[in-house]
Amino acid sequence: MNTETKTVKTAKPGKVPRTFRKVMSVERWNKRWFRYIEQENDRSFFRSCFTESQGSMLGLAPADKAQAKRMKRLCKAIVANRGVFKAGPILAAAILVVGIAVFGLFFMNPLLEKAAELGLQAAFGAKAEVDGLRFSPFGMSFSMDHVAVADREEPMTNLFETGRLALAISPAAVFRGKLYIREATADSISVGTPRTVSGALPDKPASAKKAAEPAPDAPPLVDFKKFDAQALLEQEKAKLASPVAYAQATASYIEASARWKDRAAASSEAVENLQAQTKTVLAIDPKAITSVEAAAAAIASVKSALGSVGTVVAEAKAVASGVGDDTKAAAALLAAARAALPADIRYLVSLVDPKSGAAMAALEPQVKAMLSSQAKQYLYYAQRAWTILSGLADKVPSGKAAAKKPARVVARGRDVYFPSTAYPRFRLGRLSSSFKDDDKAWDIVLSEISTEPALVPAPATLSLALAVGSSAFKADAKLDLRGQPAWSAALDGRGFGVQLGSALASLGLEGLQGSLAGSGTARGSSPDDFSMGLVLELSKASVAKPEGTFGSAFAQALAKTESLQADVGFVRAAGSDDTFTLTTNIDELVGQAISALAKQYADKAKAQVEKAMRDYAAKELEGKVSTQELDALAALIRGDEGAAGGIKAALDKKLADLEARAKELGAGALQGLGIPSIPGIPSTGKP
Amino acid sequence: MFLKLIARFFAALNSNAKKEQIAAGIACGLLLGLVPAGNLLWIALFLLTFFFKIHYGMQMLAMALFKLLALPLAPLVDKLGWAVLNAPFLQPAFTSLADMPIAPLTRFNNTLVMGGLLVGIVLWVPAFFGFRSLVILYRKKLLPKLEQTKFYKAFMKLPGVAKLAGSVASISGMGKD
Repeated sequence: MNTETKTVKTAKPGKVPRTFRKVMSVERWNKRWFRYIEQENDRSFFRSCFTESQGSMLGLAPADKAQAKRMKRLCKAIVANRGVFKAGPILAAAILVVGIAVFGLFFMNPLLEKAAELGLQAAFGAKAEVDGLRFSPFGMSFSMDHVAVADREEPMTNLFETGRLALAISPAAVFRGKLYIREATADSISVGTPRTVSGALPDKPASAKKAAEPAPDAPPLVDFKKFDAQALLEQEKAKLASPVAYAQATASYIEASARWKDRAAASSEAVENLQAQTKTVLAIDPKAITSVEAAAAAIASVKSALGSVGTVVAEAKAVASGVGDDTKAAAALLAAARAALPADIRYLVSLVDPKSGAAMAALEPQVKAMLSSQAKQYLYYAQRAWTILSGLADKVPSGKAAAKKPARVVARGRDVYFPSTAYPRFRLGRLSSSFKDDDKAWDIVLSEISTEPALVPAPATLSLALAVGSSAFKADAKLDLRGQPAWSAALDGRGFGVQLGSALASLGLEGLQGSLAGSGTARGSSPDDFSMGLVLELSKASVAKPEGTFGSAFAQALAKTESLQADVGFVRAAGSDDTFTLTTNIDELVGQAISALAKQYADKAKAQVEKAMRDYAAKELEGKVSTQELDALAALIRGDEGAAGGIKAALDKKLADLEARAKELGAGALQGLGIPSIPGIPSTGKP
Repeated sequence: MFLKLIARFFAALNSNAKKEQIAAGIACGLLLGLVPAGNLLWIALFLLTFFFKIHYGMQMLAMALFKLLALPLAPLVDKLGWAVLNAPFLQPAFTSLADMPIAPLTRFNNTLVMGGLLVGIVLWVPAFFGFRSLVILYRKKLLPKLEQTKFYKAFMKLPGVAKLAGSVASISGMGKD
């Protein structure tokens, strides 16, 4: 077509245009040229430009410039009328397609790679690296050669790292502006791998970590063969109650003595002074008094002495009472301290009694610490997963798709809604990975992760299976955020070789090994509110280097039964302390194994412990308690109190005698007269 | 503007433009006029016409005319669309279509879109053949007779009309020279 147009453009008067120079049959000439001319006058003109000769059409040269111009226009019209399709737009579309293809081949993947990195960084709050991303827009499939996301809390460690990832995305969701990863597979996944560069983002600092809890103290396990009662006593002294009670009693006696010492001395001195003062008054002989005046003077002296006696007697009584009370209190503390002694002896004896639960008490904190260190790692990952999934769900206002009603506007028509699938903003249908790491075969399936869990037909699940030779482990976890948040997990594993090494060396169980099997469940509503139960069995168990009585007995017991069972319970509830329970057959095993040993050593050890404790109490505890000073003080003050009372009684008697003598003298001297009143002596009214 | 449109219309009729191209342009204009714009379906139909040799001038003119005609026809088109979209035997097909990746962007679930598309498709073939016949009729019968009338000759000599005729001739490239 273009050639023909160019040919016509070059047509000049006097020459036949190149396009029409070719001789062709009438039929072909008609089909190729003539039938595309629509106007009758143009058809006549075009026909006149050719001549028919022997059934062929020959082009004639245009007569003038106007004819040449008209031929040119007709040629254009003929070309325009030929065919159905237009070359220009088709070519443009082809160029567009090629352009898109070039973009897809050279620019799209690097841009998407960057976008994926930014998205992962926003989701995990740490640096992310994505390499070798390829996107197939027609199949809506992604693949990435390598993905690494740093741990926000540990910037030099990867939260996870994967090998080749392949993703299949739902085109239907993409055209609705949603991301639905129908299936994703990973060749390898590893967690906690080290990084060469920090993965911290400037605006996403790591959260403050809680200080590690100190390791729990465990009661000692006694080695009967090397038993030293004194050493055990010294080791456990801080945990005994009687030393503290004795110390309190001793202090009480000392404090009481110090408190009353000076006051008692002052009281004694006052009594002595009183004795000296009343000596002359008490020496008065009433019969030696011959006059009423002398009797009145003697009575006045006695009364004066009685006034001083009252104060001294009251002070002596008060001091005696106070000393008595303090003595009782100190004695009570001493009695309590003595009463605590048998309990302490029982505690010490329990440490050498293999059936008293000491083995369990010793083992539980160690096992708890050991399990906690493993469990904390997985709990941390669970919390991170919960936070991320909850964060995804929180970013959308509502999980329910708004129901739309058909509009009634006729001018714009009405929309009829069909029950099509409502897609969440992000949904990961299935992420699966089966890969081998040395001799370990992993199988991981993660499904239904979504920003709007209510739009997903099933809860998020994680299924993890690990096989190592004849060993197998399986974990199934479920997280349902579609209504009230809830999660659960089921664990099952068997045939795993356990080598505890020196983890329990302090208990004499260095090199504890065996084949571990177990199952368990966990459920809760959040990472901070859940309960977990595990049933574990360590079969074919043995101790490589047993030490001490406990270790030896344990090793013997294991050699017989080859099975160690444990029920582990853990409860974490919001607002209260964690509860850890551990029930094992260790005590039973040890009790059985140690019974013979106990007959040989334990009774002797118990006697030694009791003697050591009693000796210690007698020398160190009772010996330090000094009751003598307070007792002497009490005796002294009691003597003073008696002496003061005796003086008062003597003075009272002396006064009575003197008054009687005065009455007698008065009656003899004034016979027949009115009885004169003697000061200080009440009148009887009788002669 | 209006004179230019009229001129283009007559230029097309009086040019060597293929009658099928003119008829297809009008039929496509009818279809695009009846289907509401602003959705992927209309855009796809519009872009599709660029790949075919149809008369775009006629298409745009026809589209403008049928857009105006579609307003009074909207209630009827809406009823037809509503009936089709709610036809029980078509529900599975439409539900599947609604789940497809691109289909919802066509707004096929709108009554005017569905009704306009159906009316447009049904009328396309008769419109094509009908307008093709009209073009033939105009070119072969009407125009030669018209040109012979004294009124036409007198009319063509009027100053404004002469100018318009010149414009038509220049646009159409008719062989009047």
